[in-house]
Amino acid sequence: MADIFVAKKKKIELKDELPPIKKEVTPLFETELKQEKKEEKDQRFAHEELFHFRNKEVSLFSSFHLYPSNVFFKEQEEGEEIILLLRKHFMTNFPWIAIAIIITIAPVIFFIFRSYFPVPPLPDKFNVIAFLFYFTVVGAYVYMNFISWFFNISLVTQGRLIDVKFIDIIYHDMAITRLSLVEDISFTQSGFLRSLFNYGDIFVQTAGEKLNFDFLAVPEPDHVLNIIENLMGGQKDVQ
Amino acid sequence: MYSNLQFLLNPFFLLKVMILVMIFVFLVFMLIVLNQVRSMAKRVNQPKTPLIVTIGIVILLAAASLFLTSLVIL
Repeated sequence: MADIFVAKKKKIELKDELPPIKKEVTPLFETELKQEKKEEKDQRFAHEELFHFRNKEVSLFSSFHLYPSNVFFKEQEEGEEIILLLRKHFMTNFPWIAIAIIITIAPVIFFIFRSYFPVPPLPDKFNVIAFLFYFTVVGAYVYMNFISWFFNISLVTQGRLIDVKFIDIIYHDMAITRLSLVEDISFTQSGFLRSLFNYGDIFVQTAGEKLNFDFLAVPEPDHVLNIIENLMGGQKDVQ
Repeated sequence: MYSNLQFLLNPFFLLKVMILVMIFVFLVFMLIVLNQVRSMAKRVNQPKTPLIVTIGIVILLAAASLFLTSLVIL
Protein backbone atom coordinates (compact mmCIF):
# COMPACT_ATOMS: atom_id res chain seq x y z
CA MET A 1 0.00 0.00 0.00
CA ALA A 2 2.84 2.36 0.82
CA ASP A 3 4.46 1.89 -2.70
CA ILE A 4 1.27 2.81 -4.45
CA PHE A 5 1.02 5.93 -2.36
CA VAL A 6 4.62 7.05 -3.34
CA ALA A 7 3.94 6.49 -7.03
CA LYS A 8 0.87 8.72 -6.88
CA LYS A 9 2.92 11.52 -5.29
CA LYS A 10 5.49 11.41 -8.13
CA LYS A 11 2.73 11.78 -10.71
CA ILE A 12 1.45 14.90 -9.00
CA GLU A 13 4.95 16.47 -9.02
CA LEU A 14 5.27 15.84 -12.74
CA LYS A 15 1.94 17.53 -13.36
CA ASP A 16 3.13 20.59 -11.45
CA GLU A 17 6.31 20.90 -13.56
CA LEU A 18 4.51 20.76 -16.88
CA PRO A 19 3.08 24.02 -18.20
CA PRO A 20 -0.66 23.99 -18.52
CA ILE A 21 -1.76 23.37 -22.07
CA LYS A 22 -4.78 25.34 -23.06
CA LYS A 23 -6.09 24.81 -26.50
CA GLU A 24 -9.28 26.50 -27.49
CA VAL A 25 -11.15 24.34 -29.87
CA THR A 26 -13.75 26.23 -31.81
CA PRO A 27 -16.95 24.35 -32.28
CA LEU A 28 -17.31 22.78 -35.70
CA PHE A 29 -20.43 24.76 -36.67
CA GLU A 30 -18.66 28.08 -35.93
CA THR A 31 -15.72 27.16 -38.14
CA GLU A 32 -18.10 26.23 -40.93
CA LEU A 33 -19.96 29.50 -40.47
CA LYS A 34 -16.74 31.51 -40.72
CA GLN A 35 -15.69 29.57 -43.80
CA GLU A 36 -19.10 30.20 -45.39
CA LYS A 37 -18.82 33.93 -44.68
CA LYS A 38 -15.32 34.04 -46.17
CA GLU A 39 -16.52 32.20 -49.27
CA GLU A 40 -19.47 34.58 -49.54
CA LYS A 41 -17.13 37.59 -49.39
CA ASP A 42 -14.80 36.04 -51.96
CA GLN A 43 -17.71 35.40 -54.30
CA ARG A 44 -18.97 38.94 -53.85
CA PHE A 45 -15.59 40.39 -54.78
CA ALA A 46 -14.53 37.81 -57.29
CA HIS A 47 -13.25 40.52 -59.62
CA GLU A 48 -9.49 40.43 -59.60
CA GLU A 49 -9.36 44.11 -60.51
CA LEU A 50 -10.85 44.97 -57.14
CA PHE A 51 -8.38 43.04 -54.99
CA HIS A 52 -5.97 45.96 -54.70
CA PHE A 53 -8.75 48.12 -53.19
CA ARG A 54 -9.31 45.72 -50.30
CA ASN A 55 -8.20 46.21 -46.72
CA LYS A 56 -6.14 49.27 -47.46
CA GLU A 57 -5.96 52.33 -45.24
CA VAL A 58 -8.43 54.95 -46.45
CA SER A 59 -6.25 57.75 -47.75
CA LEU A 60 -7.09 61.42 -48.09
CA PHE A 61 -7.67 61.14 -51.83
CA SER A 62 -9.23 57.69 -52.19
CA SER A 63 -12.60 57.56 -53.89
CA PHE A 64 -13.29 53.81 -53.96
CA HIS A 65 -12.76 51.54 -51.01
CA LEU A 66 -13.76 48.00 -50.16
CA TYR A 67 -14.16 47.26 -46.46
CA PRO A 68 -12.80 50.66 -45.35
CA SER A 69 -11.19 50.50 -41.93
CA ASN A 70 -11.94 53.08 -39.21
CA VAL A 71 -14.94 54.45 -41.07
CA PHE A 72 -18.30 54.60 -39.35
CA PHE A 73 -21.41 56.75 -39.44
CA LYS A 74 -23.75 58.03 -36.80
CA GLU A 75 -26.76 55.87 -37.67
CA GLN A 76 -24.71 52.67 -37.99
CA GLU A 77 -26.44 49.68 -36.47
CA GLU A 78 -24.72 47.14 -34.27
CA GLY A 79 -22.90 44.55 -36.37
CA GLU A 80 -23.46 46.52 -39.55
CA GLU A 81 -20.33 46.45 -41.70
CA ILE A 82 -19.45 49.05 -44.32
CA ILE A 83 -18.66 47.18 -47.51
CA LEU A 84 -18.07 50.02 -49.89
CA LEU A 85 -17.06 53.67 -49.52
CA LEU A 86 -17.53 55.81 -52.63
CA ARG A 87 -16.70 59.37 -53.54
CA LYS A 88 -16.65 61.18 -56.83
CA HIS A 89 -13.62 60.28 -58.92
CA PHE A 90 -10.68 62.56 -58.10
CA MET A 91 -10.64 63.73 -61.73
CA THR A 92 -13.88 65.62 -61.04
CA ASN A 93 -11.80 68.00 -58.90
CA PHE A 94 -9.79 69.08 -61.92
CA PRO A 95 -11.75 72.31 -62.71
CA TRP A 96 -11.32 73.87 -59.26
CA ILE A 97 -7.70 72.70 -59.02
CA ALA A 98 -7.01 74.43 -62.36
CA ILE A 99 -8.73 77.60 -61.12
CA ALA A 100 -6.71 77.45 -57.87
CA ILE A 101 -3.44 77.16 -59.83
CA ILE A 102 -4.40 80.10 -62.06
CA ILE A 103 -5.38 82.38 -59.17
CA THR A 104 -2.18 81.42 -57.32
CA ILE A 105 -0.01 82.33 -60.30
CA ALA A 106 -2.03 85.47 -61.16
CA PRO A 107 -0.32 87.82 -58.63
CA VAL A 108 3.11 86.76 -59.92
CA ILE A 109 2.07 87.57 -63.49
CA PHE A 110 0.56 90.83 -62.26
CA PHE A 111 3.83 91.70 -60.52
CA ILE A 112 5.92 90.98 -63.64
CA PHE A 113 3.67 93.06 -65.91
CA ARG A 114 2.73 95.71 -63.32
CA SER A 115 3.91 98.53 -65.56
CA TYR A 116 1.07 97.73 -67.99
CA PHE A 117 -1.63 98.11 -65.31
CA PRO A 118 -2.71 101.54 -64.07
CA VAL A 119 -2.43 100.86 -60.33
CA PRO A 120 -2.48 103.82 -57.92
CA PRO A 121 0.58 103.85 -55.62
CA LEU A 122 -0.21 102.47 -52.17
CA PRO A 123 1.91 102.29 -49.01
CA ASP A 124 3.76 98.99 -48.63
CA LYS A 125 1.80 97.96 -45.54
CA PHE A 126 -1.43 97.95 -47.57
CA ASN A 127 0.23 95.88 -50.27
CA VAL A 128 1.49 93.34 -47.73
CA ILE A 129 -1.90 92.95 -46.03
CA ALA A 130 -3.71 92.69 -49.38
CA PHE A 131 -1.18 90.09 -50.57
CA LEU A 132 -1.55 87.96 -47.41
CA PHE A 133 -5.34 88.26 -47.41
CA TYR A 134 -5.47 87.24 -51.06
CA PHE A 135 -3.57 84.01 -50.39
CA THR A 136 -5.65 83.25 -47.29
CA VAL A 137 -8.76 83.51 -49.47
CA VAL A 138 -7.15 81.24 -52.09
CA GLY A 139 -6.37 78.73 -49.33
CA ALA A 140 -9.98 78.89 -48.14
CA TYR A 141 -11.21 78.37 -51.71
CA VAL A 142 -9.10 75.21 -52.05
CA TYR A 143 -10.16 74.03 -48.59
CA MET A 144 -13.88 74.49 -49.24
CA ASN A 145 -13.78 72.73 -52.57
CA PHE A 146 -11.80 69.88 -51.09
CA ILE A 147 -14.15 69.34 -48.14
CA SER A 148 -17.14 69.48 -50.50
CA TRP A 149 -15.57 66.53 -52.31
CA PHE A 150 -14.31 64.79 -49.18
CA PHE A 151 -17.62 64.74 -47.28
CA ASN A 152 -19.76 63.92 -50.32
CA ILE A 153 -19.72 60.18 -49.85
CA SER A 154 -21.86 57.13 -50.46
CA LEU A 155 -21.69 54.03 -48.32
CA VAL A 156 -22.90 50.51 -49.00
CA THR A 157 -23.41 48.17 -46.07
CA GLN A 158 -24.82 44.63 -46.01
CA GLY A 159 -28.36 45.92 -45.75
CA ARG A 160 -28.40 49.63 -46.53
CA LEU A 161 -27.34 52.37 -48.91
CA ILE A 162 -26.24 55.67 -47.37
CA ASP A 163 -25.87 58.84 -49.38
CA VAL A 164 -24.24 61.82 -47.67
CA LYS A 165 -24.44 65.14 -49.50
CA PHE A 166 -22.40 68.17 -48.53
CA ILE A 167 -22.94 70.95 -51.04
CA ASP A 168 -22.09 74.65 -50.77
CA ILE A 169 -21.23 74.46 -47.07
CA ILE A 170 -24.69 75.45 -45.84
CA TYR A 171 -26.49 72.41 -47.24
CA HIS A 172 -25.88 68.89 -46.04
CA ASP A 173 -28.16 65.95 -46.20
CA MET A 174 -28.00 62.26 -45.33
CA ALA A 175 -30.32 59.74 -46.96
CA ILE A 176 -30.53 56.07 -46.01
CA THR A 177 -32.45 53.28 -47.67
CA ARG A 178 -32.65 49.54 -47.12
CA LEU A 179 -31.44 47.29 -49.92
CA SER A 180 -34.75 45.44 -49.70
CA LEU A 181 -36.48 48.67 -50.84
CA VAL A 182 -34.31 49.05 -53.94
CA GLU A 183 -36.42 48.49 -57.06
CA ASP A 184 -34.06 49.23 -59.90
CA ILE A 185 -30.40 50.02 -60.33
CA SER A 186 -28.54 51.20 -63.42
CA PHE A 187 -25.39 53.00 -64.42
CA THR A 188 -24.35 55.41 -67.14
CA GLN A 189 -20.82 55.98 -68.36
CA SER A 190 -20.59 58.38 -71.26
CA GLY A 191 -17.90 60.76 -72.41
CA PHE A 192 -14.20 60.60 -73.15
CA LEU A 193 -12.91 61.38 -69.66
CA ARG A 194 -15.35 59.01 -68.01
CA SER A 195 -14.27 56.16 -70.27
CA LEU A 196 -10.60 57.01 -69.88
CA PHE A 197 -10.65 57.19 -66.09
CA ASN A 198 -13.43 54.63 -65.70
CA TYR A 199 -16.04 56.48 -63.70
CA GLY A 200 -19.77 56.94 -64.13
CA ASP A 201 -23.12 57.62 -62.53
CA ILE A 202 -25.16 55.03 -60.69
CA PHE A 203 -28.90 55.56 -60.36
CA VAL A 204 -30.86 53.67 -57.74
CA GLN A 205 -34.64 53.75 -57.63
CA THR A 206 -36.22 52.84 -54.35
CA ALA A 207 -39.67 52.29 -52.93
CA GLY A 208 -38.75 54.28 -49.86
CA GLU A 209 -39.35 57.89 -48.89
CA LYS A 210 -36.51 59.10 -51.08
CA LEU A 211 -37.24 57.73 -54.52
CA ASN A 212 -33.85 58.22 -56.16
CA PHE A 213 -30.32 57.66 -54.98
CA ASP A 214 -27.68 59.00 -57.32
CA PHE A 215 -24.05 58.06 -56.90
CA LEU A 216 -22.52 60.51 -59.33
CA ALA A 217 -19.11 60.13 -61.01
CA VAL A 218 -18.06 57.14 -58.89
CA PRO A 219 -15.08 55.02 -59.97
CA GLU A 220 -15.58 51.43 -61.25
CA PRO A 221 -19.36 51.82 -61.74
CA ASP A 222 -19.78 48.34 -63.21
CA HIS A 223 -18.18 46.73 -60.17
CA VAL A 224 -20.20 48.90 -57.80
CA LEU A 225 -23.34 47.80 -59.63
CA ASN A 226 -22.30 44.16 -59.31
CA ILE A 227 -21.58 44.50 -55.62
CA ILE A 228 -24.93 46.15 -54.86
CA GLU A 229 -26.65 43.60 -57.06
CA ASN A 230 -25.00 40.71 -55.25
CA LEU A 231 -26.07 42.22 -51.96
CA MET A 232 -29.68 42.59 -53.03
CA GLY A 233 -29.90 39.83 -55.63
CA GLY A 234 -31.37 41.46 -58.73
CA GLN A 235 -31.02 41.97 -62.42
CA LYS A 236 -28.54 44.34 -64.01
CA ASP A 237 -29.66 47.16 -66.30
CA VAL A 238 -26.60 48.61 -68.01
CA GLN A 239 -27.14 51.60 -70.30
CA MET B 1 -15.72 122.29 -35.41
CA TYR B 2 -15.54 119.14 -37.54
CA SER B 3 -11.84 119.39 -38.29
CA ASN B 4 -11.16 116.37 -36.02
CA LEU B 5 -13.30 114.18 -38.25
CA GLN B 6 -11.42 115.02 -41.40
CA PHE B 7 -9.58 111.68 -41.21
CA LEU B 8 -12.87 109.96 -42.14
CA LEU B 9 -12.49 111.32 -45.65
CA ASN B 10 -8.94 110.10 -45.95
CA PRO B 11 -8.90 107.39 -48.69
CA PHE B 12 -6.35 105.33 -46.76
CA PHE B 13 -8.61 105.30 -43.74
CA LEU B 14 -11.50 104.10 -45.90
CA LEU B 15 -9.25 101.45 -47.43
CA LYS B 16 -8.21 100.30 -43.96
CA VAL B 17 -11.85 99.99 -42.86
CA MET B 18 -12.70 98.12 -46.05
CA ILE B 19 -9.86 95.62 -45.56
CA LEU B 20 -10.80 95.09 -41.90
CA VAL B 21 -14.45 94.50 -42.78
CA MET B 22 -13.48 92.03 -45.50
CA ILE B 23 -11.20 90.06 -43.17
CA PHE B 24 -13.88 90.08 -40.46
CA VAL B 25 -16.52 88.72 -42.87
CA PHE B 26 -14.03 86.09 -44.00
CA LEU B 27 -13.40 85.13 -40.36
CA VAL B 28 -17.12 84.69 -39.68
CA PHE B 29 -17.46 82.65 -42.86
CA MET B 30 -14.57 80.37 -41.87
CA LEU B 31 -16.13 79.87 -38.44
CA ILE B 32 -19.36 78.71 -40.12
CA VAL B 33 -17.37 76.39 -42.41
CA LEU B 34 -15.51 74.87 -39.47
CA ASN B 35 -18.77 74.34 -37.61
CA GLN B 36 -20.18 72.50 -40.62
CA VAL B 37 -17.04 70.40 -40.93
CA ARG B 38 -17.31 69.48 -37.26
CA SER B 39 -20.93 68.39 -37.66
CA MET B 40 -20.04 66.35 -40.76
CA ALA B 41 -17.15 64.74 -38.92
CA LYS B 42 -19.61 63.67 -36.22
CA ARG B 43 -21.96 62.15 -38.79
CA VAL B 44 -19.41 60.21 -40.79
CA ASN B 45 -16.12 59.40 -39.19
CA GLN B 46 -13.21 58.89 -41.54
CA PRO B 47 -9.55 58.33 -40.65
CA LYS B 48 -8.36 61.59 -42.21
CA THR B 49 -11.07 63.85 -40.78
CA PRO B 50 -8.81 65.24 -37.97
CA LEU B 51 -6.35 66.43 -40.61
CA ILE B 52 -9.13 68.26 -42.47
CA VAL B 53 -10.30 69.93 -39.24
CA THR B 54 -6.70 70.93 -38.41
CA ILE B 55 -6.20 72.58 -41.81
CA GLY B 56 -9.47 74.50 -41.28
CA ILE B 57 -8.30 75.72 -37.87
CA VAL B 58 -4.96 76.82 -39.38
CA ILE B 59 -6.77 78.91 -42.04
CA LEU B 60 -9.03 80.40 -39.36
CA LEU B 61 -6.03 81.31 -37.17
CA ALA B 62 -4.23 82.81 -40.18
CA ALA B 63 -7.26 85.01 -40.88
CA ALA B 64 -7.52 86.01 -37.22
CA SER B 65 -3.84 86.97 -37.03
CA LEU B 66 -4.19 88.89 -40.31
CA PHE B 67 -7.13 90.81 -38.84
CA LEU B 68 -5.14 91.77 -35.74
CA THR B 69 -2.05 92.64 -37.78
CA SER B 70 -3.99 94.89 -40.13
CA LEU B 71 -5.72 96.51 -37.16
CA VAL B 72 -2.33 97.42 -35.74
CA ILE B 73 -0.19 98.34 -38.76
CA LEU B 74 -2.70 99.97 -41.11
